[in-house]
Amino acid sequence: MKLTLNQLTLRFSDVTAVDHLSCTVNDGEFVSLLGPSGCGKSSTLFMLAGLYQPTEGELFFDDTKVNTVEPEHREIGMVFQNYALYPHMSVRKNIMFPLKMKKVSRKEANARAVEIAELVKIESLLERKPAQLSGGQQQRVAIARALVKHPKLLLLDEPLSNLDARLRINMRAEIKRIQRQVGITTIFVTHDQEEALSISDRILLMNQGRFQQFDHPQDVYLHPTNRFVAEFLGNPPINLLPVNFSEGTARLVQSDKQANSYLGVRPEHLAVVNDGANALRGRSESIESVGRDHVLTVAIQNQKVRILIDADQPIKAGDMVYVRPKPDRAYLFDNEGNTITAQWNGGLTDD
Amino acid sequence: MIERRTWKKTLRALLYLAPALALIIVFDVYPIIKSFLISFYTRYNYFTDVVYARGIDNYLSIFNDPEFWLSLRNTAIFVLGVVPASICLSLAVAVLLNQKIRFRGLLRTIYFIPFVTSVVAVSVVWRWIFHSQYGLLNAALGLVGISSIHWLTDPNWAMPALIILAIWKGLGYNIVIFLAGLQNIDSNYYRAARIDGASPWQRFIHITVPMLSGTTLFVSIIAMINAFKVFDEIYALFNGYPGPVNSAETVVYYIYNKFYVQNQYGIASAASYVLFLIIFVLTLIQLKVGGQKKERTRSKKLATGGGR
Repeated sequence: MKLTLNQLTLRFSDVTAVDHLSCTVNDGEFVSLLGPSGCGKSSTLFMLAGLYQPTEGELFFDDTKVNTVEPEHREIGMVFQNYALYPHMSVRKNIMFPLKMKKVSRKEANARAVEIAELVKIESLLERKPAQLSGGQQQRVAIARALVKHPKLLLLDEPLSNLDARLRINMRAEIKRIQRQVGITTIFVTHDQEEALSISDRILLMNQGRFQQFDHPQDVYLHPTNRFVAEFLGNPPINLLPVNFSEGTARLVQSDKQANSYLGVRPEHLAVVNDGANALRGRSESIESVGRDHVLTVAIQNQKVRILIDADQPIKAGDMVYVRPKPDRAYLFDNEGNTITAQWNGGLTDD
Repeated sequence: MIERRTWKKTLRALLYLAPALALIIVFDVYPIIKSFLISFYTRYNYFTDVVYARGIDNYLSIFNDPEFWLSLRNTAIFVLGVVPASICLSLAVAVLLNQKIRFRGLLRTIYFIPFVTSVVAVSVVWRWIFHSQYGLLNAALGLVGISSIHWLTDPNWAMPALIILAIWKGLGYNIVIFLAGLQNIDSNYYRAARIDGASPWQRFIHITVPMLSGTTLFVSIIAMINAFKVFDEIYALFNGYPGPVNSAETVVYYIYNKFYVQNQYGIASAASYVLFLIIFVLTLIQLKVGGQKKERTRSKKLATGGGR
């Protein structure tokens, strides 16, 4: 099912949770709603579910406007953050519940419940109560319950946030597998960038209720439309240097006051080089090794930048080094945080 | 921090507990034991506290007393009339009061007022409401074409009148307990149920009722015990006698009558213990039936090692 949001807005008495959000999600697509806490992603999901009614704007399922359609008539499945499995019902009864509400015969409902339980691999747990299941198992039951009535849209509200790190990666792959197998349009809310980058066909980034960027994971990462997107994605975070940009050359300045723009370069797009052409000179301060990553911190005047280096690079703390960004992987942002589209030829100087 | 049990600490605790304990022992524990003993006194001097003979004659005599059987029957009718209706009504009101409605706080207060007002005072008001000629109830019934009912003087209507009063009186307390139970149900269950396609009625049946089962059990036990103990309402509503031709005489009224009016202390005590046994057995049955479901899941959980 195709999903269209047109200037969708949600206001509570004095806060605007979602501010004129527009986008189109294609049939069968897996889209992550990503942003910091309170950015309006859950509110958006609740509007898609029908649990919140939009204050303004329009919401379409295919070509039908559904603004005022109650959740019970939207033909959607949803997995809640705490799973919301009915504690007094067995796993089988939980999964059969949506079918029972649709007055599907008991025999057929049971057959479909068993079928979907096999899909999410919980067929051996059908007689247990939710309290007797582990977090990952509860998660699978919640997905089965959401999918059993063959909904047109699957909504996932931070479904992995209650699981431990290893299980989270497992379930991430499982959710992706199940979604592929069923081919259902899916909206996945998360605040975890790694999750969004690894699982989605496209990522919709939000901040303070506003649309930021809607693109494929690699494009969001490599071509951020503004400073927020660039800063929000990436770990270690992007380096931002205050510069004066004029006539194709960026000149490093001492403070934010003197800067007319900012140069953003991710740690993996900075290289330590031997010559000073279009490079910045600084003193190597420390090398931090986290697993396979080696992060070099360099002080350039009063700024600090982080660079991802190879383990075999012979750099010690205290060395003077030249640092050069890859020109096509560096971004210029103006003082408002918007990307400057003007041509930058890589010209860079620190005096 | 785990403290060790010592005599010093125990004595100190007892010292703090002493005032309350003394009152409970003098006015509750001692009478309970004493009345149990008295129920077996067959010949007894009240003034000198000398017992000449003991036996089960008191129990035999109440079981041969048609008035006792009448009072048991009346009590049973009263309990069956009050408890289920009161639970259903208060649950319905609690669900309504739990919605997002205007004047919610005010309405909750209004429903609680009957519980905190004096039984005698409200019974006087109800006597007026039930008045066959000038009463509000008959006036209201008259509007829908029902001719006036002699609520308080017709033996067939005395018990229904008493039941109406008792339901109204107990509503506030039950509503408060149900409201607390309702607020303990995570709203996500309702959201999930809506997404799963459940209508408001289906959400009530499949989410609210089962998740309130613990509260309902508690309310039903308390309501049943209270109903078995009914006395004040009768005394006040029928102006000091148990309804026309004893039609509203309950077991507690029977006990009161034997003790204070006829001074048959042994018989009153025996009747008290029969009432106690009835309440005790019924409460055990309720706990057994109500607790069964939970017990089943718990034992299963133990058998499977608890999952998590």
